[in-house]
Amino acid sequence: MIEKISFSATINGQKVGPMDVPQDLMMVELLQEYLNLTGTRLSCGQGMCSACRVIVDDPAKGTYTVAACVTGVAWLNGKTVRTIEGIAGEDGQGAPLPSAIQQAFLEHFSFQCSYCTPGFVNSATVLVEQLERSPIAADRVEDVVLESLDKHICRCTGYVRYYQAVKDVILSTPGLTHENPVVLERPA
Amino acid sequence: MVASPVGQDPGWFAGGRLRYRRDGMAKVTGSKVFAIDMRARDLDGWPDHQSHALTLHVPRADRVYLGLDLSVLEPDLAPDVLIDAERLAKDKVTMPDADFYGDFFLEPGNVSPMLGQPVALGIWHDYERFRAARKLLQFNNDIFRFGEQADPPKRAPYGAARFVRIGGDDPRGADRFSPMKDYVVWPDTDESGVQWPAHDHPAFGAAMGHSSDIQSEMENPPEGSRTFAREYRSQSIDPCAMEMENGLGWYDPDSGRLNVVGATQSPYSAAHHILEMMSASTLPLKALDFVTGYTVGYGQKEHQSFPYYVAMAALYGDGNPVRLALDRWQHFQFALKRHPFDIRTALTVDKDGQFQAMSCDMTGDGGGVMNFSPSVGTVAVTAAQSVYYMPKSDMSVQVLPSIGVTSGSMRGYGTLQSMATTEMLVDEIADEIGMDAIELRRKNVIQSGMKNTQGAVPSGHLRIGEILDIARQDPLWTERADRKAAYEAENPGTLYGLGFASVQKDFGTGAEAAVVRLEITPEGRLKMRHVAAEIGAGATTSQMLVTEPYLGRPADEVEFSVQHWPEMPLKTEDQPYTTPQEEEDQLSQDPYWVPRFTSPRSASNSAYYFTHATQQAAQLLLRLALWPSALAIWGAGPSGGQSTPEPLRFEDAEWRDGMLVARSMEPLSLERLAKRAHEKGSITGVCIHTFNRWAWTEAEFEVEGQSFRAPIDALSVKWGTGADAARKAQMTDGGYAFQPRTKVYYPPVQRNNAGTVYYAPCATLVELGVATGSGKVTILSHKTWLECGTQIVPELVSGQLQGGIAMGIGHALYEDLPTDADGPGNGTWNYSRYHLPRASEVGVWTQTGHVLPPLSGEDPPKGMAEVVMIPIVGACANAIAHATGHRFYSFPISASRIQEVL
Amino acid sequence: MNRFLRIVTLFALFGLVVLGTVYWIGRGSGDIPAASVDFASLDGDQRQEMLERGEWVAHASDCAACHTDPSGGSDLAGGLPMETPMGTIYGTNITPSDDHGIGGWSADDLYRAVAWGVAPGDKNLYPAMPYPSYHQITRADSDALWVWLMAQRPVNKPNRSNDLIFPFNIRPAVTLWNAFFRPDAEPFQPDETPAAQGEYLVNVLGHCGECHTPRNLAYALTDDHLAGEVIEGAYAPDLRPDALARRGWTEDDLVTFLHRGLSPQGVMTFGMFPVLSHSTSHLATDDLEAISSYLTAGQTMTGPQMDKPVAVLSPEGASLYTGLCAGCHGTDGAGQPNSSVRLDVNTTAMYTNPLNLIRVIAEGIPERDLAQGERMQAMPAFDQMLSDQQMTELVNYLRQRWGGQEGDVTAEVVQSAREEGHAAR
Repeated sequence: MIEKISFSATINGQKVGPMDVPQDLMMVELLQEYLNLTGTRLSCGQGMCSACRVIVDDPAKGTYTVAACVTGVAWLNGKTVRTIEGIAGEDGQGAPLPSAIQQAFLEHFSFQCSYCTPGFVNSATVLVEQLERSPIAADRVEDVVLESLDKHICRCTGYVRYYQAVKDVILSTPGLTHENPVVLERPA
Repeated sequence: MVASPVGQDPGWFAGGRLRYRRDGMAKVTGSKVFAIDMRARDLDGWPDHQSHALTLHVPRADRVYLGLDLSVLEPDLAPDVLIDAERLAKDKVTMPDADFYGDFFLEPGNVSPMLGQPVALGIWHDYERFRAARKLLQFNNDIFRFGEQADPPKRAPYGAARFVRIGGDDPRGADRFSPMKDYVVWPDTDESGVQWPAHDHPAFGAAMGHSSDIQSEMENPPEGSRTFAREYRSQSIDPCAMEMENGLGWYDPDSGRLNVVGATQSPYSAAHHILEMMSASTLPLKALDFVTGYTVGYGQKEHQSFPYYVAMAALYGDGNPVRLALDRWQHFQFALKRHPFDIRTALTVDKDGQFQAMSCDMTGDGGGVMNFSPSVGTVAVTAAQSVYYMPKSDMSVQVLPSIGVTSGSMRGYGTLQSMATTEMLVDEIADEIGMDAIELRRKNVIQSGMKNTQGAVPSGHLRIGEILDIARQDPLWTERADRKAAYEAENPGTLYGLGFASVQKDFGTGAEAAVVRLEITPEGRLKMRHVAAEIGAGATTSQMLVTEPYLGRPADEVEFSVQHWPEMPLKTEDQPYTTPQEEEDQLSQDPYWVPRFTSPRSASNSAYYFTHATQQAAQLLLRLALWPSALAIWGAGPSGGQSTPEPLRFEDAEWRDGMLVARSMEPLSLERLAKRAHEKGSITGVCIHTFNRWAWTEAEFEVEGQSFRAPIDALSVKWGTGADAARKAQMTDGGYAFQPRTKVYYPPVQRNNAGTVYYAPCATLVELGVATGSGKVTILSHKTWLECGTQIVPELVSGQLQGGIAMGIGHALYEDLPTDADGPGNGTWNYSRYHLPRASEVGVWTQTGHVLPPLSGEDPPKGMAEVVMIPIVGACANAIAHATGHRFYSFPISASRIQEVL
Repeated sequence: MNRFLRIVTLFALFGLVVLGTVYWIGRGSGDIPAASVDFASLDGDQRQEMLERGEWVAHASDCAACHTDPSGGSDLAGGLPMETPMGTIYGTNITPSDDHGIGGWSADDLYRAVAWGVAPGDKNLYPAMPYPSYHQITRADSDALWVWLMAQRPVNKPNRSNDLIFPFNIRPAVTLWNAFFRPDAEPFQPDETPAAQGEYLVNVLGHCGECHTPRNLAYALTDDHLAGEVIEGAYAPDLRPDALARRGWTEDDLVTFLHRGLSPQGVMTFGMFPVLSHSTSHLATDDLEAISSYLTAGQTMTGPQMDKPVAVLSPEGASLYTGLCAGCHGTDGAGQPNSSVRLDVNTTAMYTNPLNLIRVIAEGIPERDLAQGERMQAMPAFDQMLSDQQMTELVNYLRQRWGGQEGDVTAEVVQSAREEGHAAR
């Protein structure tokens, strides 16, 4: 007998549910098999490669990411979630309008096979949002990017172009760092 | 098939400039691009309801398998369909080329040849029961009934070969003996092992005699020379494609139509092998539609058996589409691995540091099924010379079966294992004879026109010497002693090491075939069909750009990974390596015959071989379609129009700002040319086939009165919408008219013995710290030099380089799979236990890469995605030796292995 | 803590009063046994034998536990901070560096330091150096250790001065402590029986009691040998035979745990992880079996028991478990091979003290290599995601479902455990 729970959530701004799903269902299964949102990719299935990382926006606890492969619908019930399908905007003609992070990944040729890209987009997005609230010194950017993204495994790229892209976004977006090197280079 | 999200975004190429990958927008927004993203409801014409399949793999190979006990699933969760060996035998569904791919399922009553062999496949028609059942079956070894202890079946070695060469006095002159001039030794093998021929063997005796002579001379080198012999081991590696083996199939028993969405680097052979799988079956197969998603593999998805499991599962879906996707544990359990090798290498060096002779004897572990083991072995050992000229060499290899998971053709194809260890030996010799390690390399480097260990002359100018010259002047190298002292004073307890290695890696397979079709629409849009499939490396971006110099812009519309080529009605036995010369001469008389139809996406082959095909198609479209139209426009008018005063030749054609120009003629847009060609019913499309056997096949054609010779071996053309009835009647081959070649020049079959002639050189310097306590290695920085001809897209080249290095670091320091009963075939392996390098472990902020400028405007692009991962492996080992004073001979050089000796 | 400090300070003041009478008791070392060999006349084989024995002593006595370099270089170059109620003590450089290490020490010096807690120049070591446990080291083992230490790579890394509160920042004060709590050095009588070997490994070299034995108000070990203690923000569990049996240990599982860092009962975490990597993973099976048989002496070890939950489980706890834990540890607590431990027989929920359970959930465990090829994935930290109330529900659920413990942990207990965790990090 398959035990069920009633699940509802806000996913990419859309109300989902209430729907009856197995109580031990993992988020990645819900997204892929019930909602046909397959951009959240399953790779290790044990929460350690971060390909499936999605964003949870919790008014009380703040924004954080979880590995959708090992986080159950039981935890996400009633919560607000963003997946890769909800990151880009729309240009008014039905075409995607990439976010700053997505645009940087494109221009840096950051990804190859792209299996891990949605996870990188989501973690980098949360990092940028954190820096909007609490900026860091420009000389700490490399360390902070590494701390935030080291949990993501990529087998194609050697990470360099992802990291350079995120660093570029952080350094070129006003307000994310204390001392913007572009400003520093100006003559006094 | 679903409308691909790739191609809907035109923003990738704008303002005459590549802005991002063609598949970039689809990929960065998480669109459905992989086969694993597809569900039945995404596919046009498929039923929405989808079933789910699960393979069951035996975790051991030391007991008789008696059958399954699925009582744990009773009563509700038992599979709706269970397929096993008996069921397939009944329906006569067989694994195509079972010697190569293995059997679908182990029959009860036998010991499995390997850990992880499938024994059955279950299908559940709804997801919730499927997932509940899967949970009960996962890690549950009680579902397999085993009998008594017994040995796995005995098998003969998968392959063995010996390459013996004795050069003449001039490295560029005639050889005394070599595979190219004479032959490769292919010994007999049986269950007792390899039977190396005796000296009096009628076919191979002479080579074996030379081999013995080289060996004994190396054992007793002449006065002043020394022989250094070392034994190395390279481990088993999982390529770890992030997308697991998967696929989706739908078989409609009423219509007999089988649709398969697969994930493979070799879609063309997969499709053909599915037909073979069904050839004897009692289940009707009327039509097959095999497509592959964008995928990734590093060789793991090249000629793997998995697509056949998908197709087979589909047959039993009771009319429902069936999805079969391994989870990561199963992917470790069943997907192809990189061959472990035991390598004994010896080098004889004279007192000046000049290499006199080399021998290398490699024993590979091919795992449970043959797959590409024989050729991985020969490619590995023929690469062992690395970047050096060897006056004499005796190179032998054998690849043996084992109970491990099947080894396939992972990135490097065996050459990583051989070249990295040669680079370690050369580094050690430099130490032993007191010579600068790059100086020693420079002294022995193979130069243009010199022969490789097969006796073949590599293609073009060899530029590894240029790289060595740059590297030896690099401050990292020249100041290494000071840097070591300074670092160790600053970081007490951590040892600094700098290591270097240089290699050159072949690309291609010696039988590279490609098909490309290019045409212009009446509106002037450029449409392409191509065999290339996307595996992440960017071929579908670069191949579109290749048309630009010839046609003024990249292709506007494209269909990649094309399996159906009615416009190229060729025939082939697909035996390009084994057909004797006489027979090939006979066969090639038939203009429809080619040695092979197409090659998989592998062997770093797109940049060179596919580019050649795309270029030829573009050039022929220009020559046969656009140029005549241009001449007609320029020549229009009573007295020959504007062109009469100018002596126009085809060579004058060039593109400026998207317009065709020639001397002082009026610039013409593609739109105008296309309109004219279609109106007049002249040629508007070409489809070409190419073949390379370490040289390009050329053929002569006569098309519309024009005779020409081109480096292609088959051609079809299409006339425009205004074509006359006679021409329209000729276009019977998928809307094209096949143009039989009048003469063909296939490279002689003896060139198969060349092993390779196309090389891309690469070298890496790496500096690292070794913690004396834990033995932990920290990469401080690395610097790589690469030569790859003309870069089509420099960003893609650099991305391959960075990614290859990370993978090489994993091989050198972290990744390791046991080959015994604790290996991944037992189903308990995942990234938790298998250490993939993370960003913090690859010097993500401190690495640099440099690409040499091309030699000429037409310097062809070289395949480089494999070579870049190799020098870092040897360089890491050499750096650790520099840091610790201890030489390691076994990969990975893990912290615990270092800790043991410190 | 405050009460503790007040008493200790009172004690110290009292000590000042009786200073004159007791100072001589705790000062310096007593007589020491003669060197076990004549170092000058060792031949190659003898020296090699001593080196091997010395390496074994270094592993068994886990010198690196405290003397490692936290910046990741040498295991013996010092610098590791150790938090004690008296302040922070930094491990010292024990490489044979002349300037910063023990390059100038004789074998006698090493024996005095290890067994008596007195460094050359009659300098008292702080009892963070476990001489109250090492006092029974044999002179031969101390000598072998000396030979091995002197053969190690010298690392010229200066020592970091300790950061202790008054009056502990005055080294002579240790003399007073020694007078009351330091056992005299008396070499263990060598005995080849496994039981004696086990006792020597556990109590002398392994100094297990330094963490696992409760301490008194003066931070000295009490007589409740191995009865469990909270140290450096984590609970070092009760290792007495009946407690081990109750938690489902077997002799074999203990050996596996010490050898590989992993057994059905759990994985090495907190302070035991470095013990694994520096010490127990390097010991031979014979040694581990000796340790195991000593720890389980006289007790029937029945192994892991899968008991029914002790109470009706709360739906909130169950939902949290399914939502956050079951993905890796399984709905039934079966775990996943080589990655996520079983929870159905894991001992962490079996301690009355919930400190470790709360801290592991809040802080997670980093991805790391264990031993003999075992490697564990990271366990994520749930600190941000769980309120005190949710953590309370989850902890009580785990305790009741598999721990055989009452669901009596309160939000206040959770809060203070989290604070303890924050302080210890």
